[in-house]
Amino acid sequence: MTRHRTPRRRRLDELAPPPRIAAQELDAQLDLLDRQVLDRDRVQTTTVDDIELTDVADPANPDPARPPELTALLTGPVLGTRIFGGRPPESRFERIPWTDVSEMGTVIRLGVAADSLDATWAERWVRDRIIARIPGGTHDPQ
Amino acid sequence: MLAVLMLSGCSADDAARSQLSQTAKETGSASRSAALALGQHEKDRITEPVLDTALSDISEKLGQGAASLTSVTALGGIARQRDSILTAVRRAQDILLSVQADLSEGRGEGRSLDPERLRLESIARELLSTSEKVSRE
Amino acid sequence: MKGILAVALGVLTAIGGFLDIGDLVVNSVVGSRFGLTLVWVVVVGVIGICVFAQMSGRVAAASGRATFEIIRERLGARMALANLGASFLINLLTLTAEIGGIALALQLATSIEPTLWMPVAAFAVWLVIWRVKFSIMENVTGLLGLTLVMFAVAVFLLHPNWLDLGAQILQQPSPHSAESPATYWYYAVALFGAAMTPYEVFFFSSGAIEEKWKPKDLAQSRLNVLVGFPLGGVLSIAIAACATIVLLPKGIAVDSLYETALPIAQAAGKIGLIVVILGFVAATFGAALEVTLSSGYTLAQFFGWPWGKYRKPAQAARFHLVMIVSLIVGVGILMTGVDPVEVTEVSVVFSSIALPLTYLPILIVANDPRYMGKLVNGRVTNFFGLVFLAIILVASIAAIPLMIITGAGS
Repeated sequence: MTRHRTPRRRRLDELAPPPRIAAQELDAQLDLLDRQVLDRDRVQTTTVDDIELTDVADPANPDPARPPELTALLTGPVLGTRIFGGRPPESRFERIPWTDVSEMGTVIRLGVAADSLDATWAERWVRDRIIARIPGGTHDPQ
Repeated sequence: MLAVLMLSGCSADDAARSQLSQTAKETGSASRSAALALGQHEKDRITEPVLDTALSDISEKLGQGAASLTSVTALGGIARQRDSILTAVRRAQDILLSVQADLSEGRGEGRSLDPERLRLESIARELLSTSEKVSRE
Repeated sequence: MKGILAVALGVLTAIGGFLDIGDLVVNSVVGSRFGLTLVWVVVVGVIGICVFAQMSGRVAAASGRATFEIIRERLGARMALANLGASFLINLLTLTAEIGGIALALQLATSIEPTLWMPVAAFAVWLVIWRVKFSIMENVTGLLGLTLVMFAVAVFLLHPNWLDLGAQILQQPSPHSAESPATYWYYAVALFGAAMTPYEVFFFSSGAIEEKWKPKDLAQSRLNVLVGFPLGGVLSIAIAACATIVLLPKGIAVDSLYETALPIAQAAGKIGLIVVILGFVAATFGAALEVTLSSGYTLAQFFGWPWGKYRKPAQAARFHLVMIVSLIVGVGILMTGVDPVEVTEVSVVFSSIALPLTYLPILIVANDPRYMGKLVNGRVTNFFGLVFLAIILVASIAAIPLMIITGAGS
């Protein structure tokens, strides 16, 4: 039995097994939240700020046959709401789909490149608007 | 610093004395520093930029000291002490100004600055001993 | 032969890179006001930073991860965020002090106003971070910083009364009736913060990742730390000793950088001064590089952004942006006309306050076998680690009250 201990009223009774790994029980708080996410080239992508679960009809009396499922890792402003309370509207979630995850350990590996994700828009924005405009930004240090 | 003393229930006189003692100590220390730097200059052991930096820094400190002295409200004996400290500080400032002028005009022209050094040293002694005296009252 | 050179380089760089503006200023102030009666603080501080630098290097080599990445995983987002916030702000303060220090040192070299140097210094720091390789950056500033050995040489050239100096080291608390016990302890805390700078730990562990350390590199790192840092500490004491020999008898209390250099003029004349000022520039510049990088490391590691000097800037965009903004803020603060020496004194005291935040997570992670494997802390290390944690906590709690009581040491 695992529990997801955050201010949310949802409870996680069973975690959907990650793709391509034998089913195992994992604690979302210990093994998922705040973990570093690396992409397929081992480049840092983000940390897991929160996770997204499918809706449950009645959170107070969960139906064991139909548990909430993990759909995505979340990053961005959800960190603030996770720590301080509240919840941003779903359209503002920055998602990394759970299906992109290939491995879980002390870090979470993705099977895709970081640049291909929506959630990494901030890094791309800073890169294109600011860093690439400064001379030498795209060169290796000497 | 003054506010802390006032709040802790000291009389205005004590606060003023403490301020005077502190300022005399700082300006005395600064004057002595200037004397030391000039002494090194006399022995040709100090570089120009370091001497320049030292003198302009000390000038500023003396200016701040003078400003804080004039802001001290005092009557009677304390006022006299404040005035004598202020006079000493102003003398030090004058000497420094003339030294700085000399240096910027006649670099290396060989006039010894030892008299100025000795005067600054004696002002320093005066200020530091006044500081002691005032703090013991 | 090449092996010995590499080892020597590591140690020499550690010595030369040990001192920053905090050490230069506070040691000289303390020497001019308290003699050598606070030397014990430097000794304790050096042992402390050896223990924790070693630990944080081992964490990086064993786990392949840097400090703040692990802090968040291990302690949770809330604690790590609090830690990050405090560390980042104090880092920014230290950064401001170091840039100010570069400007003051350049004034001593050129007579040009420090305010004019501040933007130049910040720009130069940025440029080196932007373009220069990590190892070159470290080695050059470290080796040039070795010129501060001049202070140790000067102590001998000044022909002091050795017995008197020795007696002072053992006397405590302050025998100088001019200073109150509270002021003595205030400067003890300040000196402690100057010796055990928090940014050093972030820098050390992230630097280990930058240079891609493996467990086999730990032997070199241990040597650098255990030989280099204590020798760096000896230089700190030498700075204090010079002030004690020349300035204390004259009642000159140091509060500017030129006063730190003045004893050298007496000991070794113009050549000595030139050497020492080169050392000032190298030490403050090197420290500014490290502190700026630390601000990038702490933020990027907490949020999981790509980071590292080994990457092209375009591949670590937000990391570089954080550093650029930090430098701009630092210069901005300096341009308001604050005295860099006062900023330095405040920054070391606040460093003391931040020390528990920095060191406790390292101690926790270094004891976690999931990250450390076989390199997990042994009993001896933990003993020292806990002793120092206690000392750090005491210093941290005492700092603000002492600051208020003594009016920041006046």
